[in-house]
Amino acid sequence: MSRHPDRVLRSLLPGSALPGREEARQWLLGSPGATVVCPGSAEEVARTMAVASEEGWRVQPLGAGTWPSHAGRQEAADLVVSTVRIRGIVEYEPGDLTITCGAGMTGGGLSERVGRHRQWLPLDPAGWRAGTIGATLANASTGSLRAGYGAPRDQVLGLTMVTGDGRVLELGGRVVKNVAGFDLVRLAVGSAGTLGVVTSATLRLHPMPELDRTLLVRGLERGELVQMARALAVAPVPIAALELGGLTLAVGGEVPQGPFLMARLCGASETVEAVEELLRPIIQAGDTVRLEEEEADELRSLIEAQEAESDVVVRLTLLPSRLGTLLEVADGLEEELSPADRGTADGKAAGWLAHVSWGIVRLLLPYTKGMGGLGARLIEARSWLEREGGSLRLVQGSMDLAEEVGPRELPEAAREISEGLKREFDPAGILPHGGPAL
Amino acid sequence: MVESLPLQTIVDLRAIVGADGVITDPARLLVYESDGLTTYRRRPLAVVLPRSTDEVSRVVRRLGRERVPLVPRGAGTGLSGGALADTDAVVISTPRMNRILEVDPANRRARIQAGVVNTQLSEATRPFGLYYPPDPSSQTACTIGGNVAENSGGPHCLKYGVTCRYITGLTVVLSDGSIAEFGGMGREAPGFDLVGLFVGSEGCFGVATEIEVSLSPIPESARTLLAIFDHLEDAGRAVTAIIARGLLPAALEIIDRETIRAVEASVYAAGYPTDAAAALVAEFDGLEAGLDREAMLAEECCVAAGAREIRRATSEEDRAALWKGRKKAFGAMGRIAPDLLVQDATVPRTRLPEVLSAISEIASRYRLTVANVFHAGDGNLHPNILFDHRDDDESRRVEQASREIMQACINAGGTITGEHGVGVDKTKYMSLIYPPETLEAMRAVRRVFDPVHRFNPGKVLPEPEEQDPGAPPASEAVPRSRPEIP
Repeated sequence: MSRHPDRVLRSLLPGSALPGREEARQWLLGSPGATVVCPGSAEEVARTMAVASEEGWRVQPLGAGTWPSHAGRQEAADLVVSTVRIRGIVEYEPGDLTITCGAGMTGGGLSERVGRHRQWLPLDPAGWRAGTIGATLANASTGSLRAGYGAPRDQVLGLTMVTGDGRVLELGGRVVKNVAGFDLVRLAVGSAGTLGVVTSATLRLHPMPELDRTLLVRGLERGELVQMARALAVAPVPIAALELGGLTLAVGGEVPQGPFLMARLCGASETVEAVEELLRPIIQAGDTVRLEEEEADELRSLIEAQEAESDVVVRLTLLPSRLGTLLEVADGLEEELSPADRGTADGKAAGWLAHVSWGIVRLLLPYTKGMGGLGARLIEARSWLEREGGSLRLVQGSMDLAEEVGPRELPEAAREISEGLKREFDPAGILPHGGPAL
Repeated sequence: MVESLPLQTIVDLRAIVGADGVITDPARLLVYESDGLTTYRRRPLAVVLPRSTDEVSRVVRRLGRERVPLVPRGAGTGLSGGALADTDAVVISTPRMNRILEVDPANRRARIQAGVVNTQLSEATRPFGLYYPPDPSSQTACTIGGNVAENSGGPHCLKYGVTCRYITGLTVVLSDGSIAEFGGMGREAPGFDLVGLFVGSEGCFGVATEIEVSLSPIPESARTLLAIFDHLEDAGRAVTAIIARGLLPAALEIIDRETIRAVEASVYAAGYPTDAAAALVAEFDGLEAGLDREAMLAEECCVAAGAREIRRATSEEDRAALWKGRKKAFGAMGRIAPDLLVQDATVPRTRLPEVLSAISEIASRYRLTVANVFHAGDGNLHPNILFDHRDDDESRRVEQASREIMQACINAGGTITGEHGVGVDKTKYMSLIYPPETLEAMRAVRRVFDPVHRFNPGKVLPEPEEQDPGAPPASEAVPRSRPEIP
């Protein structure tokens, strides 16, 4: 590294882009020696990236820094580029059901703004309200609403992304249907900051459903709930989200133990009532509570909080029909924990959440450095799942665990293409390398 | 440049795909001279018809020795010249790769070969109560492989989304003949979304040979209505009102006066009033419960926007009749002019009325007949310019009007193609919507997949020096930086 970022960037960016030491601390993550900049526009990001590329500074792109453990993290970055100041609305036309906003806008901020027009962006990854749009898209973070509304890639119409060497790319467009040129939006979404810094996005909004109801089913053994969940997943009715959980949660003053199933129904009142009626024969074996919007939001917040506070989150996938098998794999991993680790003494407990429709289980684990063996078990489980056509990814966890687990192997052709893409978008290799490979 | 394939090459290709799988006879090659956009015609060196991924791989490797350019092709129903091969290129056509490999109702997915026809897939999955939602107008002929290449849409994509939403995995053959697997349901593949990137790459990255798709439950019921308007702009306003009401129809389609007259004068006559300026077909589907209310609210929007008549389908026959005029519109136009230039721009829905007025003004100024058929809910316009290519003056006016219509759509915040693809037809417009850096990034991505530029050369991207002479730079044409709204 030839010159120190701090000195160079002070002459390159306005003072507002350079936070004070105290403020900057929240964005340092695992790079205590890094310089933090918060550019106010794509042009300022471009200037920053151009000089970083020339100087060879290792750069960590960042949103609000509320998902600090995401796997695409740069080890010992020289420079953290946060988009938190690029958070305004560029264009919002409710009649078009589209919005263009800065990448630094939070999910909560966006929800509040478009909610005034009874519209919403149906994305709900854990921590969505505090996390930024840019980070959500960069990580392709999904929640349970993916079942009914699709993944982040389905909600993005266009992006502005600054490449590793400071080129400003306008990708996609602002209309809901667009096949002009190669779909680099889809390349950018989920690229975890390895190709560039997303600075703004045009998103497809949806009318807010007239009725948003969640059915909570409890009081059954896990196996029975899995069977019920699968029956719901293949029922020919629209279910916005279908989630199974094995967490200890307080609902309505109670602290229910044991697994639960949540089916979220969104739409016109008449339709939601009809769907509930059609589902009743499937769910009647359980103890079912009907949660209206606010109660369900409260429950989801509790789940989100538990996930956000978890030391380790492992994402396991298999074909949706093999959900039972996937949960057995999760059991195997949880069993590696000592009884003390599994306990709730420090407020953290092991647990799991499953997106039923997509065959995804998020395993939440408490973790301490002394807890040997987990990394090896993760590697073993990953190999088994990959042989079975599934996958395992560490989405939240300490750097030492991430290092121990190491990157996933890509098939040769995909690896060559991925490496080629990385070289084209980040020729100096200053952006994180490991994100997509983890 | 190879002018004809060496005999040994033909022998080798026949050894791979069988004697009936290689076409070199000029008469038989005529079929492959163009796709659905017949304005562009070129005859390829040869056509190869493989039956499997392995055969595609061996064909690509074999032709790699002569460095022959390759053009993947499905049924050839595309409307952008995307499957057009230069005279030194070989077409790899997939109709013999038509096997449905697996239907997996428990996971709502199917695995198919690329040459499976769109409607055949839904027919095969219907016994399981499932179907494949993207429904391009050519769906009874077009292949899913072609749909993947073009990221095809269709009338019902307003509610259900376009092809890319349904593609979960791909097997592709790359330019060196290697076989790559991308994605797969149940597997969150590490790395970039190569499935998403490949879909819509118009045959420039490789040949998709096997495709994994996700399926949806067949809607229980539908309500279809036809609203008749005396002004086209009113129909556009009705569309905006329906969406603003929070309704999500499965389809919202408009055909204009010229199209109505063409349809009614043809064998496809659907009983649309020929004095009407526009007909709007609105369809709601899903569970039976709630459909009547949604249809009623849409009717209210149409009436408020000035609809003079509403027709409701009360049976499946009625529904087919209401759709007939829309679905057969393109076919009917063949009666009134020998040639048709099909455009495919998309504009923000709220700008539809003003863009429709602009198109009307441009048509009038250039003394041309423009017949509008469009997916109004998506803002996806198909202004079709009717002409006779033997009339040089008219052809010139068509070219100029076409450019102005495209510019009007772009000025309204739109894009140059919503579902037909860029192909060879719209490369000249790419610099109107993308700045040079973005176009260069697209070129770079193409190089990564196909370093030797073997697949579908000359498509999608303009050469760096090729700039539309009449076009302002993208930065002027599409204002990207706007003041922030507080």
